[in-house]
Amino acid sequence: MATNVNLSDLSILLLFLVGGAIFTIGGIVTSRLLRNDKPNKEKNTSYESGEDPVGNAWGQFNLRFYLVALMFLLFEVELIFLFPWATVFGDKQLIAETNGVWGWLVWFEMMIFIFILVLGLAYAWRKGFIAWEKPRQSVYLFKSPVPGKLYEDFNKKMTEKEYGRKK
Amino acid sequence: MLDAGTIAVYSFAVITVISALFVLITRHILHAAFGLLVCLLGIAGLYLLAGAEFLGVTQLLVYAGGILVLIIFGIMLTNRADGKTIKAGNHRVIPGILAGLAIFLLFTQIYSQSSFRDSLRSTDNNIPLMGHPVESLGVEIMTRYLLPFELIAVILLVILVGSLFISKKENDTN
Repeated sequence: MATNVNLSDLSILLLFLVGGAIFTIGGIVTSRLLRNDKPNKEKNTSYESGEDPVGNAWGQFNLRFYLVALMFLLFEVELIFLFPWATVFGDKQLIAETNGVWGWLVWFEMMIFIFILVLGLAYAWRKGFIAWEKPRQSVYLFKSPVPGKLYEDFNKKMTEKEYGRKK
Repeated sequence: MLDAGTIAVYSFAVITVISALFVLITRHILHAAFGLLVCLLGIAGLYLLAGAEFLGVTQLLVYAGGILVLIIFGIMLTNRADGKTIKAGNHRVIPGILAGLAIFLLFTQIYSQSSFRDSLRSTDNNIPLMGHPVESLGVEIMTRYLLPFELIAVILLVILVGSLFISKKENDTN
């Protein structure tokens, strides 16, 4: 009985899948049937704003992409386990049957689970795996031997002098 | 008699098998990764049709979404500086076939010996009858399988810290 329910639910999903496939493949096939097919060397090069492309499309990736993807994957697995937990965490019937113990028990169990993984996140954060390398800005700090107050006094004196002369 | 469900199961099975064979046959390693994507999607479809919705969605999220991105990143990272693409070949065919057969026998053995408890119909234990398989899964994780559940967190932590530590060492040597 349950499988019938699942099948009817999934058939909508399957319909979307089939429809999407038909529209994508159908578009490609139709354009292939309608178009002229006269390739030459110029047409087959990748279009790069009129420039001739140089080298391989497989550039060397930064290793940090891999690490971020790896961390994402591990926390995604954690997230997967949150779903069945979330469906039963606030279950009224279970809480009522256990006089509220169920809610607290499940809450602490999941907090322990998350806390263990937060330790890993803290490790990654502390060791700088999350921080993306930014280009370093060099700021030139000039230290004058003359104290700043002398400049201010000088400027003040000179503006007064200018002002006075014009008057 | 062929109903829509049977046709769907067979078409997903055909997609899975053909894409798995494509992964084996193709020489282009990136095409093999894309073939693996189709294979994993087909397996997810089979899970969904078998009524294991949670497993199917997990397959889509973790394998088709995560692991495959990791594999493609791995291919992109290991390309050679001389611009040649890496060709995949068939090595050690006979040990591979033997290993595959061994895994197949192991799985059939496990399947025949284990008794699958249908949690929807379980009235013999104290776990209350739940409306949805995901809900009964949640109750099971929080009660009967609590220790494995918390151990998963520890294993994930070990994987995270270990992989980051290894990659850090490799970064330092470069």
